[in-house]
Amino acid sequence: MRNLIAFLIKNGAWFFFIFLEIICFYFIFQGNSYQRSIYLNSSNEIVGRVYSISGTVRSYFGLKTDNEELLAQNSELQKKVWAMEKYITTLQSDSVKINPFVADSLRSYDYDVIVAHVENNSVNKIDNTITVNKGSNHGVKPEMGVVSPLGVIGIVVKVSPNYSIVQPILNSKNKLSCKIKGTNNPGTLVWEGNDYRYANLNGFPRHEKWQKGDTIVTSGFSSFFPEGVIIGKIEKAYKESDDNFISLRVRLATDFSSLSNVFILDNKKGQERLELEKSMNANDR
Amino acid sequence: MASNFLKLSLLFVILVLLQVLVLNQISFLGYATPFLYIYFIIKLPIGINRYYATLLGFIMGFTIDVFCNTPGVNAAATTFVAFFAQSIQNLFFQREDHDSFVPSLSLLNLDFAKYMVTMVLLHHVALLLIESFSYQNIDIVLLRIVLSSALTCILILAIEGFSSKKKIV
Repeated sequence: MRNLIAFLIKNGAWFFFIFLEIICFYFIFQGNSYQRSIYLNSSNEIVGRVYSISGTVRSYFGLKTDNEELLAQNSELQKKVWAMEKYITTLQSDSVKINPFVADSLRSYDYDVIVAHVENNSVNKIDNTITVNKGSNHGVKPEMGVVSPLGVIGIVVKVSPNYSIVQPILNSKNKLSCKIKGTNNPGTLVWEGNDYRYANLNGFPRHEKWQKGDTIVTSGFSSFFPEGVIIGKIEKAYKESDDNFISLRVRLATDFSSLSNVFILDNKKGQERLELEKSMNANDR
Repeated sequence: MASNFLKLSLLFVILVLLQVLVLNQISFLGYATPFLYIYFIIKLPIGINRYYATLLGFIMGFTIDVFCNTPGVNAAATTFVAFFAQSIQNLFFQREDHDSFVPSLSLLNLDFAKYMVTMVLLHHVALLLIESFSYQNIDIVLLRIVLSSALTCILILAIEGFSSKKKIV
């Protein structure tokens, strides 16, 4: 003990010095955020590296149970998918509610829906047509609009008792009145005849605002479609020969290469409207 | 002894004010800042109690820290230098000189210069390493150490030159 005290006294200056330095470094780490951040960062890095190494080692031991859990989860999900698919098919056969109308259900009330199945379809010609398995026996008439759950398809042009021919957007004769969702500037959608994924919106006024990704919907100016049915999204713009207008390239929402079920829209008031407009034109003459 | 204490106190105040108000604003070539307050530790009388020297170094450094808003950095470096001052004196000064006297250029000539440069270098190395606190940019830190030490040494030599002339007159 005496030796210890003697040692302490002999080297007292050293202890005093170390004591003062400890105080200094305490201040350094407490008061200077820079040094503290470096100290903490480096220690965190070391600690983190140790933990990550032990974590990778440990994860191997858990692989078997993980696999079993995943398999169980997978089979559970698969069961759900089958149940859903069954439910969807039952809905498709007798459903009146269609995705494109959800945003505008009030207007769509004017339309009756006939569910039809696509029998024949082409996408690689200039004038493509679609054959569906419902005809005049089921109430289909020419000049009815046709949509899919994803968006607009086209217009019925010819009807037999059990079949009808649809002229889709992918047809050089088809001209569809449309607009950008949320605005009221109508344009005309035409198909150039090359790529079944794209169509062009021509005659769009240059001064109007648009953005890439804006949704193109039907304008409701024709009686074929209610207002607001999705057609596609703007991809980019072209200059037209007339400087006051531009063309917008539209990526179609419907995948025309894989159609199965379509909905034919029967506008209950369409006939009345057509007659009124015809009588007006007759008066003009 | 009393006059010695008074002189030291006056030196302390002047050096702190000079350091805080003037020298800390200097950034010669963007690297060099003289840390003249170490002059206080250099001018501590030879033969002073080692506890006092260490404590005075701590107080000096801490006072600078309070003004510079860098708690602990200057204190750590200055405490370090003050503690080892006696060992460095033993390196350069003869044993016979070891009465209680204040080291100065006029008294010790080259020995004082060696002692002074060693102290300044030690202090600046400790100070700037603690300040930068990493091995990244070590080249810039070394450049700062060399330039700042040179500037501090020149200042101390200038002050010593003035005070020695006064003594002759």
